[in-house]
Amino acid sequence: MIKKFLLSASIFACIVSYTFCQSEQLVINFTQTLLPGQLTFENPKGSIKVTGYDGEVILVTSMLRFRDTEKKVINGMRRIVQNTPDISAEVNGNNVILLCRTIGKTVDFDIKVPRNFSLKLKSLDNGNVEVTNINGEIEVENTDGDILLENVAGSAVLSSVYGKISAVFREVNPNSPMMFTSFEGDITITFPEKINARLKMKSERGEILSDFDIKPVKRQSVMTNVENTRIYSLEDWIVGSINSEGPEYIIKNYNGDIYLHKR
Amino acid sequence: MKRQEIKEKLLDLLHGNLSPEEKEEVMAGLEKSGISRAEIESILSVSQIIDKTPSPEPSEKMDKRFYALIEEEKRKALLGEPEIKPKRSYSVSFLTPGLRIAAGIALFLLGWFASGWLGSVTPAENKQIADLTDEVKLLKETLVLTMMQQSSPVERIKAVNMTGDFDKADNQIIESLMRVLNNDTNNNVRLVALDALIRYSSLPEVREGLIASIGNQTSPLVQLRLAEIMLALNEKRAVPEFQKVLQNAGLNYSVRDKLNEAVVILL
Repeated sequence: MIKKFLLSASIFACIVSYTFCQSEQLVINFTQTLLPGQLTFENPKGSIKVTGYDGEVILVTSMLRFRDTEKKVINGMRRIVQNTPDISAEVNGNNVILLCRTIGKTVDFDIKVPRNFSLKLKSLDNGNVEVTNINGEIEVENTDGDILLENVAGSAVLSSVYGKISAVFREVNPNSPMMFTSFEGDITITFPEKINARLKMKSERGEILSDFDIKPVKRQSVMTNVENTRIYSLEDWIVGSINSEGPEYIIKNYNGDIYLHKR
Repeated sequence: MKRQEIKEKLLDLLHGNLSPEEKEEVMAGLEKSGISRAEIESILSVSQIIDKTPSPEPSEKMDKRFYALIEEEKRKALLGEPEIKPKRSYSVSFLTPGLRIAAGIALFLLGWFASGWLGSVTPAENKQIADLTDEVKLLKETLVLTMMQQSSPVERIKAVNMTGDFDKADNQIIESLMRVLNNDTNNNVRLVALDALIRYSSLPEVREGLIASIGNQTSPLVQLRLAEIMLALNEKRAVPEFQKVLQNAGLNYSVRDKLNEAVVILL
């Protein structure tokens, strides 16, 4: 299976520019069929920036954040710096998987994809994830850094632990639930004025501020059994709707605030 | 080549059924009407890709299950609970008051027995309705289980939310929620699955599953929620699991506080 992946990748992907000291670009030829494509990328260390553009191919630019520039002579020989992150892409149908095998070094990525694209992004360390001008399903997990979505349409499932989340939606998919969670960071979401949604929000130690008029919805009761005793309680969320009932949007954090803006 | 002829041959061109000469003619005709060769080629390649793409077949298991359900329903309909035939109405005129009273008593008795008799039929009809409801539930369950395996987190969240529609979840649903809680690649999906499982926390296997999953979690929000749940359930068996998590030096300080608190209260 992996071999098949690599084979197709080697056919479709070719390194266009290859220089020792500047950023490098990987061009992935991608034939978009009726279904939009999906890009999966887990960056072991570093940031990810994905921008939707009018082109057809996927352009991946990678760059070491801390460049090795030491020029010295060892045993009378010149040292050649190795600033070359190990990246490759696997293409299978509509799915594109980008891989970065450089361990230990921080590599920042700038990726351009066609506008109608779904993304599954993860930064494991030391970087922010930025997504701009994309129309599709956006899934981002970034433990340490921020998640920033600008001018996106569709739906998003975002989670961070120490970073803040900021998302500006141009349009939303009226059938998709969404979820935004962070542990320590603020969550700021901007939705179009006319969306219909059911919101479930909770900030354990922060504030919730909203431009929207949120109509409270009755909370559901929960029954738990504790050693022959039944305990009835209401679910511990702020539940409300924007305009009329719609898909459920869950927004939750612990130490940060929640801001809801109208666009 | 006339416009009409080109129109007629367009489909053949797309399916590749034309001889090279004919193809050339049609292409030339199209070019005259302002469609460039490159465009035609790109349309052709797309149509070829579509032709070649195998359309996904429903899995054999799904097929079997579907047909089994239909067969089952057919069989039941054939064997069928006997339908209640409408009774003929009698028009009888009784003359004497004595007979009227007797008839009254007889009617009363008849009513008495009839109510007993009808009472035994109604459950059968109810059963049919119940069977149907069960089957709809089964289909919905199959749908939920399939959706939980989708690669899109949105679909998986939808599936987890749908489990709330079942009054009483069966083992398969609970097992798959547990799988999501322990193995899902997305921490947000794990969090909704955890909240969905609270509904079944009175079941011993769910309790044990929740306790066992404490060690599998890395998301602070999930860890915190588990601590809250264990406190609410007064579940002492969770203490050793929490203590294991507390040994992790990189644990978030807020989670550490909460887990310490939980351990102290539960012990």
